[in-house]
Amino acid sequence: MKDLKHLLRFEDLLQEANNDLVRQAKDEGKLALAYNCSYIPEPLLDVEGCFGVRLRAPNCTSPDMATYYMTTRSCPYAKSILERGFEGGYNFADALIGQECCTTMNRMENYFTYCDLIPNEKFFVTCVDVPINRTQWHEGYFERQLMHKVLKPMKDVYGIEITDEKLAASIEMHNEMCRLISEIGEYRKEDNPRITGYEFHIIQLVTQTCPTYLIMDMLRETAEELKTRKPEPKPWFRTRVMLVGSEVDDPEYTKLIEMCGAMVVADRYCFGSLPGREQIEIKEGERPLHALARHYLSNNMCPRTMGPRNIKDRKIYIYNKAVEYKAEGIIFHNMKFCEYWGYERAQDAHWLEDAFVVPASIPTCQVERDYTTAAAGQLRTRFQAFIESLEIKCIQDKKGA
Amino acid sequence: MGKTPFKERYPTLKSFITGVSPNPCLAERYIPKTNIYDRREWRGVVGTTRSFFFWLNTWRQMASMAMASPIRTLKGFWKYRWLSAYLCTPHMVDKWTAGDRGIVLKCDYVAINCMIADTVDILKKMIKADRKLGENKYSDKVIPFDYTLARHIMHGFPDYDSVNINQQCAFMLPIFRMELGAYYVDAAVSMGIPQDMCTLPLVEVGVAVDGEYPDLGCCWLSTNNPCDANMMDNAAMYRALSNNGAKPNHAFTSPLMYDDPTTQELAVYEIYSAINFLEEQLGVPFNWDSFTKSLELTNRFNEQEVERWDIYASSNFIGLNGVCQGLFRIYFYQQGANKYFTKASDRLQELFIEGYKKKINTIPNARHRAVAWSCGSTYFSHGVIWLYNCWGISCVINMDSLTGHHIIDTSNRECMMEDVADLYARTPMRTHTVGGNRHILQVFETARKFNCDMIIMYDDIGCKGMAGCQGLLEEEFRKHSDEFHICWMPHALMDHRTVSPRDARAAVNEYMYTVMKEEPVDPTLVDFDDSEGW
Repeated sequence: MKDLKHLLRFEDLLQEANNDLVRQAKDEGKLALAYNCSYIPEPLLDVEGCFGVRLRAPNCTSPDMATYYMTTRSCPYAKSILERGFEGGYNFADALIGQECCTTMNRMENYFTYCDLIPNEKFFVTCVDVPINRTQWHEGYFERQLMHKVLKPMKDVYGIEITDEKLAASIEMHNEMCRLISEIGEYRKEDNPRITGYEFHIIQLVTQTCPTYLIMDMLRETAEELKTRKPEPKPWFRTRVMLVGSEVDDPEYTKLIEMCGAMVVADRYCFGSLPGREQIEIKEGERPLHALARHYLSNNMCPRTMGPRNIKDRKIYIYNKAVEYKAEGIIFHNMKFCEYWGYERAQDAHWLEDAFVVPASIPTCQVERDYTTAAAGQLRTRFQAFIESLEIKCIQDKKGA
Repeated sequence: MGKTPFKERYPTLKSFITGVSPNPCLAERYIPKTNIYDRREWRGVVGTTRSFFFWLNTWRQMASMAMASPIRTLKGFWKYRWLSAYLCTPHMVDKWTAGDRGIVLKCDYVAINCMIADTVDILKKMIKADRKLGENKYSDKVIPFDYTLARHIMHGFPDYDSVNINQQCAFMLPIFRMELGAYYVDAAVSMGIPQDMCTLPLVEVGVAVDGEYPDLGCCWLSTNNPCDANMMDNAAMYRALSNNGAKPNHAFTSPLMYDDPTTQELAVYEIYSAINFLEEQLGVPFNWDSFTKSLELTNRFNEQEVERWDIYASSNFIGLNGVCQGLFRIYFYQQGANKYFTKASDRLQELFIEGYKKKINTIPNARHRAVAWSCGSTYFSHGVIWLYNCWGISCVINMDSLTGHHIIDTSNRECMMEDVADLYARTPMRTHTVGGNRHILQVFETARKFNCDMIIMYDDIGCKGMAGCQGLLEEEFRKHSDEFHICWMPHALMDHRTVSPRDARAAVNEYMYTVMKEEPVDPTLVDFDDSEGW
């Protein structure tokens, strides 16, 4: 396939958190609001005068300082972010919009203030309490949390008033970005897709880590380019898989799977687009902040939500997306020491293999991984074996048919 | 190595009669490679007699459990591996009272007897109600709930019995026999859950994987208490506890940042929500009078408990030893005020006041008064007793005791529910370990309040919340090094293979020899092999 025009530029933007576009936005006098979790509403951070940056720590291979603070037994994603903080990689940040969702992440965010990591007197860390259950009442509670924990400090510290009008404008821009990403992502459903999982992963990450208003033109061009992009004459992959699990902010991981011969057609992980890139609807008479709270609470598939309905819905969502994107198998993974996904991975795999609450069984593969792809050799062996098993199954199915 | 001659143990007749020996040599009494006594510990004439009758009474209570429904109990022993753990109860009593003499022995027996009586009561109900042991109508009169939830709201349904389902089937197991924790950890890991998680939820899931939870009630309550791993184990046990989705379940959650005023409305809402769920499932209205009455009893217990803490803080009358104090308190928090706890608390109050007035020094060998912080081990719950007997470190109070002791204002419903919400949020293993750094750093304030010079810092190697704040603690400890000695004591909560009791003791020994430059009170306890013990 012909290379995408902006792919190299996108790859370049992912080399560091403080990339060209972040620096440009800062030079324009905008406030950089860092965040770590998919529960934090992006349009809230992208209001006029601000921009959101989801923190990554590219190429962080040895989080020594963070290991002192968080031991070798903590989530390597959280530690890598902290390490990059010690290295000065987030000195551009004006605030960190945190959450008490997982304890390790919360500890890491607390270190930003405890260790005084950001050389900015006004820098603050705030922690939103995200409810675990989901009802209309909880949406209202989440909205009030956003008011207390984001809107109020933004006004008190930086004098930025986040009005309904500003939020509505921000949601509009966000929706356009989501529309473009979804349009691009749809091509993955094709029998012979005109985009690879790796390329999509890169584009998706760029939308999370760069100021939205600065990438819109490139996104529009990419979406336009893809309309006429010709795929390889024959599919380059041997099978199609869905990737499900905790944080994957390293596109090399997707590349690793694809180099083993499987195309990653669906991305149901933290940093992924399923869910996360659905347009936000503001209902008639609804306040934009409430729309955000509703959308981000009800549209999130994080394993921390409890109760039978949520537990089942997560499995059904994975199954439906796998069918929709024609995935022949699912790779479940968890970041080492991640308590949420350590349990969820095992449970998901069992339920989908057993076809419990879903209509049919799907082959699954479970892996644990580090933040970097340092253990690439072992992972490659696992993926190759899984892909081979999917191929054999496919051949057997054809014979049976 | 030969045993210490009788004359050296008891050089005078008085020391023999009272059982107070200058050379107790406790480890010499163990059967080799175990922590099981080869014969009853000599506690003097009165103490040994008391101990013998307590032993008889323990068996009596256990026999009463078996006799309540003998066939079902037999079936239970056949079906559930975990039930066999309770046969080790007398040994648990020995572990928990090693070295106890006089009034401390009396107090400890009051507390232990209360816990045994309450446990026997729950086991009776479980066995009676378990559909796996035979269909019965009583099961519909039982409300099962996750044991990390306190029982309080269940008191609003006085016609129903409530059973904290994983307390007896999972949490208690390594306290009786350490190998049982490891067995169920392996069962959980066999379904793909990583072994490096907290081992407590792994044991709970392991029991579910083996299909060993009783089938009780028509619904059940799960919770996000006390931490992420425990929250996720509720999801992992969902199929087992709901009979593959047939039994309704409600997640009774509490905010982690419980002392943040903006989260209080959520805490209160979730309680009403849980009550509504139970009303719907049981088809009976919530009885506010019964609920309020139980809270008043809880208040009374807590008032007495705080008075006992005042005595700990201001004197050397440490009426309950470290393990009895901690587990009695935690057990009370989970069970709420019932007849066993209110009676035991009244009796303890009498003994404490008596001891305090007489200015009895119950820790004559104490060189250090310590606060034990972070989550403690279950299989080495008696580690605090070893600390005192071996090194003279008296653990006056521990972190998980300091939970849920705020007095509930029952004068009006709004205040009451706010206070109850706070009570539900401040659970053991949660109050100080989640919701921000300020909670864990209360260790210094607590150590000061209880007049301690040492902090025993448990290092549960599977706990992600505590692993995340290791550096914070190290730095804060350095800042307070002129005020407190800080000794780390590693453990793996429920899995003795990862950090054995011997390894935990070795870490303390090293600290006491090299940093504190002290010699042990009882040298036989410094290092001994109990790898085949319970």
